[in-house]
Amino acid sequence: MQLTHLQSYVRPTDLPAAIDALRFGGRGTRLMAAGTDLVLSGSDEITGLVDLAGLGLSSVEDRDGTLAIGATTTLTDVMQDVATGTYLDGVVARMLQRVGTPPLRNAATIGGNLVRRQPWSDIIPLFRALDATVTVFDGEHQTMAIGELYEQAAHLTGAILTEIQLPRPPIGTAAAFWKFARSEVDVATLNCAVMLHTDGDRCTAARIYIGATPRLAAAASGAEETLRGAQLTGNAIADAARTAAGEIETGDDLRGDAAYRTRLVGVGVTRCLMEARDRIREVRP
Amino acid sequence: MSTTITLTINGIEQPVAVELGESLLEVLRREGFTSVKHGCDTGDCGACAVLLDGDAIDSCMILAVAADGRAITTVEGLETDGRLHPLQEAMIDAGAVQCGFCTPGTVMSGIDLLSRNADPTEDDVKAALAGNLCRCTGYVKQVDAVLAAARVMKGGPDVGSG
Ligand SMILES: Cc1cc2nc3c(=O)[nH]c(=O)nc-3n(C[C@H](O)[C@H](O)[C@H](O)COP(=O)(O)OP(=O)(O)OC[C@H]3O[C@@H](n4cnc5c(N)ncnc54)[C@H](O)[C@@H]3O)c2cc1C
Ligand code: FES
Ligand code: FES
Repeated sequence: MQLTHLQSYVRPTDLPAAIDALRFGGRGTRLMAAGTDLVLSGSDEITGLVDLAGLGLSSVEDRDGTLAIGATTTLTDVMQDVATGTYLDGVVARMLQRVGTPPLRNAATIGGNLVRRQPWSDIIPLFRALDATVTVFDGEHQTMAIGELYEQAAHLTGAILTEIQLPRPPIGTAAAFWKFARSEVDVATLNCAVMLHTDGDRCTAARIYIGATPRLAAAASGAEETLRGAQLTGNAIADAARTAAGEIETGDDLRGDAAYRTRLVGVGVTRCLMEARDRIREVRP
Repeated sequence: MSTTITLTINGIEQPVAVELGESLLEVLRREGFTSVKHGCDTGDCGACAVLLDGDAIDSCMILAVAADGRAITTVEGLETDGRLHPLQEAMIDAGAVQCGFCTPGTVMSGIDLLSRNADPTEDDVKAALAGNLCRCTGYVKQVDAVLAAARVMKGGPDVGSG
């Protein structure tokens, strides 16, 4: 038996009913998407579950260039959607291909990954680099920058994440994701995501996020700053990588020690910046 | 706390008594579908994979109650009119089965792939089987089997087997 203390399970069909079930369910009641994380946790604290599967929150939509992803969409459904394939050269699909295994991706949801905020999440650094916004419902709908989910300690208590929006990229934008793992299906020892905005040859802005440090993804703000206004030469990229390796605090765990991770920061930032630069060059005549 | 849910297992709709906190894996095995193997219980090995509404998922990672009203296929349900599924035939022909513990889950991932992509490349097959660990075969014959099944299912000659 996985969740031995589970006493109630409901699958409401509208958001207000789901919020009510969560609020009146008592301290041990949790929201559940696919449940991959909750079930494997085997937690004795879980006494009630509110299944989000009946809320109709599974969809991927190209909304005038903005990619809108329903929170309970499975990773496979996001990955295989045509709109995901065309958004920024398919960077989201390439990242998802690196998350877990096919049977995991067929069940696990985007929202579950974002809310669970595992430090090694591959989705969080890319969505932060892409400057995503998220919509949550706690009786009313509210849309905010994705960073707000991670900057508050008591995030999303009593609220349902309903949708993630990846904004329409202006012309001259490219993004890249890089993951280093001990095996094809392991979680990241370190991961990195970048988005570059350019104007002709120059970088007008960069967003760089490093995850699994082994803490939750954080911005390499100094490296972002070195790229502002710079031409994307090998030197500029090396400079940004060095700055990132100097500023990102790394630590030890079973997948790697701090010094090793610091080396990986430099490698990840370099590879992502080179890939993004090359993608911008490819589309320019 | 127990309840009764409705599962369509291998095409047969049936009421099934479950504990709320039980995984789909535990319930399927208790109901006699022992092709569904209890491996790691952590979502890593794929031995417990079944098709849920056509998609291969690890049944250890989801609750049985969450599958209420949905359709499940296990290896027991792959046979039609006394004939094995083309992928089962191909697994035998290619010599892709040794101890057999991983085989049901691997077959589920293979069928999932073939339902999405009738003409997979070797890399597509490797990616599709990445969640099914096998300690015996070294994977080469398994990949061959999925490619051979794809050829058979498209109606072409089964040049890969034999
Ligand atoms: C074997 C394995 C390998 C993995 N590998 C990777 C990997 O390589 N990279 C990676 O990034 N991740 C990896 N993961 C993590 C995986 O992506 C998450 O387990 C999954 O996305 C969680 O989604 P879920 O729908 O199952 O969440 P659930 O288990 O249903 O929920 C997780 C948490 O989020 C809350 N929640 C879920 N949805 C919502 C919502 N819409 N609103 C508010 N709260 C919500 C729940 O209350 C719970 O606290 C792996 C997991 C496993 C089991
Ligand atoms: S038993 Fe489910 S993945 Fe191993
Ligand atoms: S045949 Fe023995 S584990 Fe695969």
